[in-house]
Amino acid sequence: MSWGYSFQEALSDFWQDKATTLMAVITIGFSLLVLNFFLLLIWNLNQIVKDFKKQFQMQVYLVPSVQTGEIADLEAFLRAQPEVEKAKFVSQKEALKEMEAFFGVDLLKGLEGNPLPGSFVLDIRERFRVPAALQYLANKIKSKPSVEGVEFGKESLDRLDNLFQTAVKVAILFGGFILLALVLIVANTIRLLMNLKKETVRLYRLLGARAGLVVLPFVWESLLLGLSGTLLSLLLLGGIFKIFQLKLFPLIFLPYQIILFLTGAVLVLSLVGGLISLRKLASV
Amino acid sequence: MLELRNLGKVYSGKIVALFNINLSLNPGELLTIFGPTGAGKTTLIKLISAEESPSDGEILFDGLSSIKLKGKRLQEWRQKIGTLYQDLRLLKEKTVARNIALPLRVLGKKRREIESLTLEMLSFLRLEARKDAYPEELSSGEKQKVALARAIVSQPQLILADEPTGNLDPPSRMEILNLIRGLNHLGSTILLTTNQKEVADFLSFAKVCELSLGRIR
Repeated sequence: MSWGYSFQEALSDFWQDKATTLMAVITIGFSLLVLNFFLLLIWNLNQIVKDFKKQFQMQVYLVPSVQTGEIADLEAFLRAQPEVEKAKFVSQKEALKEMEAFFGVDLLKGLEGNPLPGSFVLDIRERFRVPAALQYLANKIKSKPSVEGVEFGKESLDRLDNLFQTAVKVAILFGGFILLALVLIVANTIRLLMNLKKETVRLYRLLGARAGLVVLPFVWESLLLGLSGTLLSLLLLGGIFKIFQLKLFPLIFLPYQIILFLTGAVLVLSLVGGLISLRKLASV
Repeated sequence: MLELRNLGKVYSGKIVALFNINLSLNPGELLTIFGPTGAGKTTLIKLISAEESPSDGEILFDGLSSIKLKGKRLQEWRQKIGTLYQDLRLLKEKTVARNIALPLRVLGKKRREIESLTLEMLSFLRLEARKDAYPEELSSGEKQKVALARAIVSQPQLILADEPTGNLDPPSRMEILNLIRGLNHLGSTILLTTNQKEVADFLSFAKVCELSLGRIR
């Protein structure tokens, strides 16, 4: 079977039936653009969540009457927790200094003593930076009598996490529909091309051609449709990306692994779409 | 080489296109089937070229039978026959050279061999200057020659020519007939159909059968 010849045939047919193929490529391109744009947003959202979590710390506030011994016990307890990467003690004095440096005023003026509590600042290991794990750790720490309260920005983290999960779910649903549409578009286009080439296909069979020789150019055309659609969508996505970079806010472009995976998936699905229509050719 | 035994073809269960045809053709022979329009000539060509299957009887060709002809045997059967169709069936999106090369592609010949055989054929039919033209740019005579070239390029064991001079002007008709006669002199086995008496007369040096209302007279 001549792969090269059938590829040449497919390229020449692709060009000759440009009205049909161009429409299909544009439809596929724009459908994939919606999916790719969504992926771009999710990818960036994922980066924001990661960055937020990277800077993430948990504050453990101590009761005012805490004794030095209790602080040492608590520190040992905190360091023994698997979730805790680092524990740094911030004394009342240090807390006041930090706050004054931040606000640039003498905060103790007019006050009888230092109202700020002593605290521990905890760095949490990355795999535990999820709301449920953090809540579990906070509860463990709160049970200690020397602890007055624990803060870890639960609401912000919850909200970000929920937003990310929802976006992923919508992308899966949306992406599913778009990829299904892609199969149908390719199947339909190949059917149209086959109809345009009914006489050619018939002649090939009358000359004694094997089904493979007749089918192969259409298989190539299915792949070319998917590939052209992907390239068009990436080109458009690149344009949108530039506009965002220049006019709105900086984004990170999709990594090449995701682009390669997406292109591979589109090619496989284009092949499926083509084969759906090509089943009929065997009986010509 | 080719034998038709009690061959019949009925369409839609009632239209009898061919009835009890018995014919044989030996290697190197030229057989002309002469008959008016609607006599069943094209049906006969379609049955022999395995485009359609017979309703009755059997065709024997080069050791193969038309009964239950499918798959690889069907491909083999079709590859051994070169057909010049009445409606030519040239592919309008392909150049003359690519149209001629089709049977060679089907046979899986190497690129170089395809190119050399196609050029040989173009030169034999004096079509070199038209090799890159598309069918719609050709005259009727040139189209007929391209269709003939495609039918013979793979050196098939049997050449079928369905009304090869159908719509041609007298000079083109003579050119095609001379080519067919030449091919036969070179040893090709040919079965030709025509409704033109002068064509049958021109080829009367060989076997001529008359077909009328689906029957051999």
